[in-house]
Amino acid sequence: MSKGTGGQVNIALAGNPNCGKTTLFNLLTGLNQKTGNFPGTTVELKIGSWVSNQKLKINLLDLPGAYSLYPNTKDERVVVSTFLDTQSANYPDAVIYVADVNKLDKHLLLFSQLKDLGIPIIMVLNLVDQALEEGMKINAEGLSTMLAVPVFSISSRTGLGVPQLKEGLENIIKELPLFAAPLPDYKLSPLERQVASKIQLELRETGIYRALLLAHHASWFYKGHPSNSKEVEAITSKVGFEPLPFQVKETMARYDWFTPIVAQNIKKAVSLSEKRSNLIDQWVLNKYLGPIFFLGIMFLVFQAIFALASYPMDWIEYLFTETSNFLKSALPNNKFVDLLTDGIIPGLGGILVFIPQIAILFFLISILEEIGYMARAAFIFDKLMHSFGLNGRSLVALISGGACAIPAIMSARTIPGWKERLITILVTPLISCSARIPVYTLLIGFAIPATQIGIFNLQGIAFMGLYVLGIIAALATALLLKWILKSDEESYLMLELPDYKKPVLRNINLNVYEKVKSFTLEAGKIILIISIILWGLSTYGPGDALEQAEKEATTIAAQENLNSIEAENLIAAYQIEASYAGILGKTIEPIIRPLGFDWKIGIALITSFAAREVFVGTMATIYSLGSAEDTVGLSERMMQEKNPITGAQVYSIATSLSLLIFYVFAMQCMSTLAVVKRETNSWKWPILQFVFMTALAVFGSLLTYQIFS
Amino acid sequence: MSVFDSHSSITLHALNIANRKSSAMVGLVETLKNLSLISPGEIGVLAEYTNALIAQKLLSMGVLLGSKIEVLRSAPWGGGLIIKADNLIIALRKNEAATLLIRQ
Repeated sequence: MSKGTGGQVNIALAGNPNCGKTTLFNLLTGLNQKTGNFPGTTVELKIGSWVSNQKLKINLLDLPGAYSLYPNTKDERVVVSTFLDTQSANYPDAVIYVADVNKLDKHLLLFSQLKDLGIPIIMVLNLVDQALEEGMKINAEGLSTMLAVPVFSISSRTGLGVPQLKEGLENIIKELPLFAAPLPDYKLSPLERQVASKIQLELRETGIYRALLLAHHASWFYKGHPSNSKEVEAITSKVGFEPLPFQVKETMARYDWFTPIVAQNIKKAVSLSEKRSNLIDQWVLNKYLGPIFFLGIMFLVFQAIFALASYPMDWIEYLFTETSNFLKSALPNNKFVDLLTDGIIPGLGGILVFIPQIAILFFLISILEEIGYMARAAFIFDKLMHSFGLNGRSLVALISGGACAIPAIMSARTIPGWKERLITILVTPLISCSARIPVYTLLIGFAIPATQIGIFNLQGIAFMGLYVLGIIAALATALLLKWILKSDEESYLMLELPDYKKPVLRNINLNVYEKVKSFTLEAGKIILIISIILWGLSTYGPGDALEQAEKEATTIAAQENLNSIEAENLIAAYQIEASYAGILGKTIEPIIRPLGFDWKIGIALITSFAAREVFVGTMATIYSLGSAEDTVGLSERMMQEKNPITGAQVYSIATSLSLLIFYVFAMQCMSTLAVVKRETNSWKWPILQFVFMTALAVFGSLLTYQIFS
Repeated sequence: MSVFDSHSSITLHALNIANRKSSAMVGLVETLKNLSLISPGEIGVLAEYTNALIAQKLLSMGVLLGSKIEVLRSAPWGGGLIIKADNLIIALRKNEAATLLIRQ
């Protein structure tokens, strides 16, 4: 292979879901991984690499798990296009096919299809340690001869056999063409042959099986080249080629080919892990206990998030406040230092403070996923979810939405039906995410007295009430969308439940690392920009308005004999009123007054359309406390805030409740909108989502304020 | 070819006979029960798929004509069921299960 001699070689890692492919990928490449998206899609692309003993760079591409080259989900389509698109930079020079040796009789369909594409391929039997322990007899040499590929036995969980695999791979790479099958094992029917050879001829495709796949997939594969798609369609429609029955026949023919081969070389023993799984499932999937068990686990997860995350969050807040204060005192007083200490540092702190919660949530969810519980939870709740137009798999997205809507929306990719997937994406941001926590905490302090009712704290109950409200809104919206959205595509559950497994810590850590990194980079960029813009808006005003405000405040401070700190605060407050931000807030004040909001809240609403957590920071800036992290000081200031005309308290219970309701419903996160655009491939859905959620927030607030005021 | 339309209820009987030397011959009267009607604990053999799209997906996973099928348990709220097909544990919705015909 030309690429092989050029110093690097691309190898794709393929296999069925739950074959341990990603565990092997992590083991081979470690932290040496890059993530991105497959071209033109939102499916996550992971490439890792290592350098061989012969100084050859081996790029390993981790493909999503798939059962067949006739795909059901977006993730599986990526596998097909990876092998059909020979022009792509990711086009593999060879394939490492991973199969769970315990399920080998079910894991060779995709293998036999890939082999028929004529791409060099080697087979890795995974989880052999467990199988041998249970008394399975494996004849790897026999398999290798009959399947006509090199076979390696490994355990991706313990690392057994992996050095041999690496070594074997180096020898194979030297002579890659030897490991490509010259002819497909699958015997095409006359009609298939007719269609495929015509495509070979007219589109100058090399392999006959590759051409056959094009006959099946041209409609979506050639999206960028409609002329090719039309050409293929002309060929298939002329002879009345119907893809589905041929897919069924081919699938059955392939099983007929390899089932006897597996039976000859693998002598099964009683699988202990299968028995153990069944035993656990009797409890976990019990009709009555199952849902209770699930709720119990989720309760523990959320307890863990709040209990464990609060310490590191405090440390992060402390660190940023102190850094900001230190720089303020150490550096000369000028605009640049202002931007750094009042704009950039609090902005960064506002992002980083969420990392502990996101890390803990994904740590726990990854454990549940690794163990094999998530697929079971999806099953338990599928009926319930389905009645709301969702899928059992939506549950993962909705729960993850409790930490952050961004990774949650990305996790909806595993939902096969377009309609169910879209509804999941659209309603997930209604689930209260961790960014709402600071806002809730601050405002509940005003609206709800901290009375104890028995063992419960009233504020704690209010907190939970807001979460429940978000869940109800999400489900009601889902129901609405279920009736509105039309789709003739059928939805499926058809989910394989893996045996329970001990979690592999390396996988979990890498997953947490990935999620935290993408949150920090993606959301961080936007929040940072917004906090700089916000700083600009509140630091500058038209003409000399700010100097005027400062003079005025200084005069008043002198008249009232204020001490230096009080005077400084008064000046800052006058200045922000005169700034661009103040003008903006006052402009929208007439519109938001029926909701119980004044212009200061107006500023915070505008700025927190970028990200909710900005609210607390903005309020802190407006009330000129220097730091966004000092919520105790802030709440005291807000408590004292009086309406200049009526003298009534601005943060009355009605206003606070109204604001709380607003934050439960409003779509105030640019990063989420950006992710929705990416995931749905259109601006239509994020815009609709934004308009709908904002309307819900405005009406909800209006109603709340009018009832309580 | 429209007999294979995924939404039609026409069976894959023809395929069944073409690919397996199965005893299920056309005309031979045999009681096939749809999987959604089978209670947990009962065992049978998959004889037929009545929906080609579901057939294609489940065949890819390895639920084959002739596979030994056991209903393990059903979901709460009248939801789907969990079957054991050979060595695979698979969760199905009721309407999906209804397209699998079982010979007991």
